[in-house]
Amino acid sequence: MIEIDNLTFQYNNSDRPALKDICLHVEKGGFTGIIGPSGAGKSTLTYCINGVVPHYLTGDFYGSVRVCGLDTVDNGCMVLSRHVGSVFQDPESQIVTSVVEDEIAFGLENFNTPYDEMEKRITESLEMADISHLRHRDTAGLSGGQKQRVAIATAIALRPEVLVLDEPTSELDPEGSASIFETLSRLNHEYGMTIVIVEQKVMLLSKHSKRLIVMQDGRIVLDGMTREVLRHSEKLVELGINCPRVVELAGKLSKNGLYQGDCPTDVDEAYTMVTDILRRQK
Amino acid sequence: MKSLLTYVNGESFFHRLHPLTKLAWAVAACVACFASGSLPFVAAMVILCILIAVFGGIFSEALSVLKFFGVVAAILFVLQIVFVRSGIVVISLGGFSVTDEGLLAAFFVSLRTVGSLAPLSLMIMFTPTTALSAALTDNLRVPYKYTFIVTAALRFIPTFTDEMDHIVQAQISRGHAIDGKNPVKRFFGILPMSIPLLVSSVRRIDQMAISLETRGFGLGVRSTYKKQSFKAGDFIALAFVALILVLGIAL
Amino acid sequence: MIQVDGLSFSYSKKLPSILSEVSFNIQKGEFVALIGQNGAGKTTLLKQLNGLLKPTRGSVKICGMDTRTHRTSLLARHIGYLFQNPDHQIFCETVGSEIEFGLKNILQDEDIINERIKEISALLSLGDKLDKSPFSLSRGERQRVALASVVALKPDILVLDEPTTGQDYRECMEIMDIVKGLNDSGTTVIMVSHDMEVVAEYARRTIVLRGGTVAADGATPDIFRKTDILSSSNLRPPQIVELALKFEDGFHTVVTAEDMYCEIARRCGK
Ligand SMILES: Nc1ncnc2c1ncn2[C@@H]1O[C@H](COP(=O)(O)OP(=O)(O)O)[C@@H](O)[C@H]1O
Ligand SMILES: Nc1ncnc2c1ncn2[C@@H]1O[C@H](COP(=O)(O)OP(=O)(O)O)[C@@H](O)[C@H]1O
Ligand SMILES: [Mg+2]
Ligand SMILES: [Mg+2]
Repeated sequence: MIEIDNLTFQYNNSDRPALKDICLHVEKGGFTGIIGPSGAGKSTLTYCINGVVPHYLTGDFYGSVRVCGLDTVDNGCMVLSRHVGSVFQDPESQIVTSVVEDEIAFGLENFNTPYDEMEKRITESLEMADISHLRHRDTAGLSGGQKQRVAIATAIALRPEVLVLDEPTSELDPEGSASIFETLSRLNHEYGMTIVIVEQKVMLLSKHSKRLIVMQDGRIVLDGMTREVLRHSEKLVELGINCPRVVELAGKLSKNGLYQGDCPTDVDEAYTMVTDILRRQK
Repeated sequence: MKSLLTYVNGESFFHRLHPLTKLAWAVAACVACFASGSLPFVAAMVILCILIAVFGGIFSEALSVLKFFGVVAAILFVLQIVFVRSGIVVISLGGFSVTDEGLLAAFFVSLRTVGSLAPLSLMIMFTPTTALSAALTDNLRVPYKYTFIVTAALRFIPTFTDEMDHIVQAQISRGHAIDGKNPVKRFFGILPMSIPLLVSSVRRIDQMAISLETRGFGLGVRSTYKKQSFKAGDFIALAFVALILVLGIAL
Repeated sequence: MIQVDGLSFSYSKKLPSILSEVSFNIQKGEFVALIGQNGAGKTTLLKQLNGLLKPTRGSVKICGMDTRTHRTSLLARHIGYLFQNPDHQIFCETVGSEIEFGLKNILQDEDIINERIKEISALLSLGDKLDKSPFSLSRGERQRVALASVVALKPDILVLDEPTTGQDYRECMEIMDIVKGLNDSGTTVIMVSHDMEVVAEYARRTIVLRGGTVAADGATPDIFRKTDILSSSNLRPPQIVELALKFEDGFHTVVTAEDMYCEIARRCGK
């Protein structure tokens, strides 16, 4: 679905590459999380997938990026936007109209979609994003979480195969963030949408993503199944990444010789770990 | 203040009128108020605006707009009193006198300002920006790029006023005394605060451009979701608009 | 230090109350977290503390001063407020003049001001950035500049609205460690945060705000064990507390991985 080979990219007004020799293949139907400190190149990587780089943000581009079989150098953002939906960090600057349904219609209008088809897609995408009840609402009066859902609905109205999200929950409370993730999981399971998401909330991400990619300084430094990646707790701490606290606990325990087994990645596994340790002591 | 130039959701007769009808009304009312030399006519126009706001169900929002116009009108009022020197002196304060002609002129100018601006503001409150831009593009053949700029600008007004509130509060909170009583001091205190507003606006606009890029903006031929046609109500309203224009010029 | 008494507030007469009957006292040197879902009224409550908003009913007293009778710009000497978005606060050409800006409002002596700038920039590791434009810095650094300009006034109380939003973990820890340092040297801290791990690690006391009322107020480990109150406020305890609650004794007052580790080590006789 996404094939990135030996990608190196340097912004025009910059003195060093933002991405260095990236190789990344994402399968259809995947749910991939990207984490890393700020400045690591996470946003730039998402821009490479939706074609913003190199078409809107320009620079030196080496290597190749193919999305749904389309080379992003030969195909502009417009062509790609039928295949890749994009959601960004700040919901405020993604909304350009004053009524929710108009906002979703906006993208469809740009593609000259006939009226009946638009009607159908608007209803469908509102439903998929769980906001059918907001259809006629004023966009200015929505909460941050609702605005972010509108942005998601807007992206999926074009029926993309891939949805790329760049820190979509940064302004939301824990519950708001969790419910965005549940919506994404549903899109992934029920509609087979391929999801690529950049996120700082590692604990939430690890609950939903199948695969986890860790970036630092323009490179991919860890890539694998979520649970496998999380087990590298020392590496994560060294990179300054917020690893789940149960991982941190297991790290402390094994360092002091209290635990030798596999590193737990969620509360249930940690429970087994702690009960084992305590039982062994008795 | 926030709703000065933003759409207010509703289902009233005025909401349902064709955007061009409302635009025609705004332009005609504005021209009529300026062309007319009759105080009663201009006063009637202001009252008409208030009635429209009441029957359109947006009175409480319109009230804050009225407050804003009130301030503008008051400033003009004072200026007129100061500058018109002919006529009989009514009040005299030291070397400073207020004449009856000055008062009348001041009253007229402030009323005329409200009468000519209020219809425009009402039109915006009754019309979703997308409907307006669609009408301009479809009926008047204004290129979509231009109408989009206008609609996007209107859409961002509440964002910017909110942002300005935050900025001013942030400065007061670190001891910048712009919460005092002196309005002149307050104004010059707030002035430099346009820098953070500018910076965050540039960031926003940059981000918005990227978002537009990924949504097929500027591809060429577009379809329109909310295509409106002229209905009976529009023709009645347009006839009324023509009447106002004629009256304004005649009186 | 802070006395909030029967505080009720609505943005206008026609709108419903955002805060109702909120009362609490905060003593000198406390580190208090204020948590609750979006729209619970946390920001509204913080703005009451430095007088940006005034009570509709009840009263707020800061160091004995009633916010209704004291201007916010004067209260600023006692209470520093860090807004959620650093870009709302920053507007000077260099980092140095940004820190100086607030100081000039309260101090006259140039030497004292320069001294203070040096001290604060060292404390927040901004020493090498004083001549740079704040807008060329990363978001995390801009947040530190904003914090520096507030802390420079040496307020007795520091109010923080979601200080770690939009930053990566390392930047988040940097900010929090600075705040902890200030708290250790006697500054009273009140912080709104959505990150329960941060709350667990730094705040000794936690107040839960739900629909504009105080739903719970107490020591952080106790609050995180009131699962019914948390879930009705759309909150979840931190991961370690979830783990601790799986055990019959709830592992007493454990809230962080470090606590948990120490407790396990103790039970294993180490
Ligand atoms: N529009 C741009 N122009 C020049 N340099 C940029 C631009 N956007 C990002 N960069 C630089 O590219 C690097 C990676 O940034 P980014 O992809 O935004 O990282 P992340 O999203 O992981 O925080 C940073 O060093 C940043 O300064
Ligand atoms: N300036 C304002 N005018 C009217 N209502 C407001 C204003 N600011 C916030 N509110 C309302 O007050 C409530 C509480 O908001 P806020 O204090 O920002 O909550 P929190 O910080 O807990 O997310 C929300 O319902 C919000 O819509
Ligand atoms: Mg980024
Ligand atoms: Mg808030």
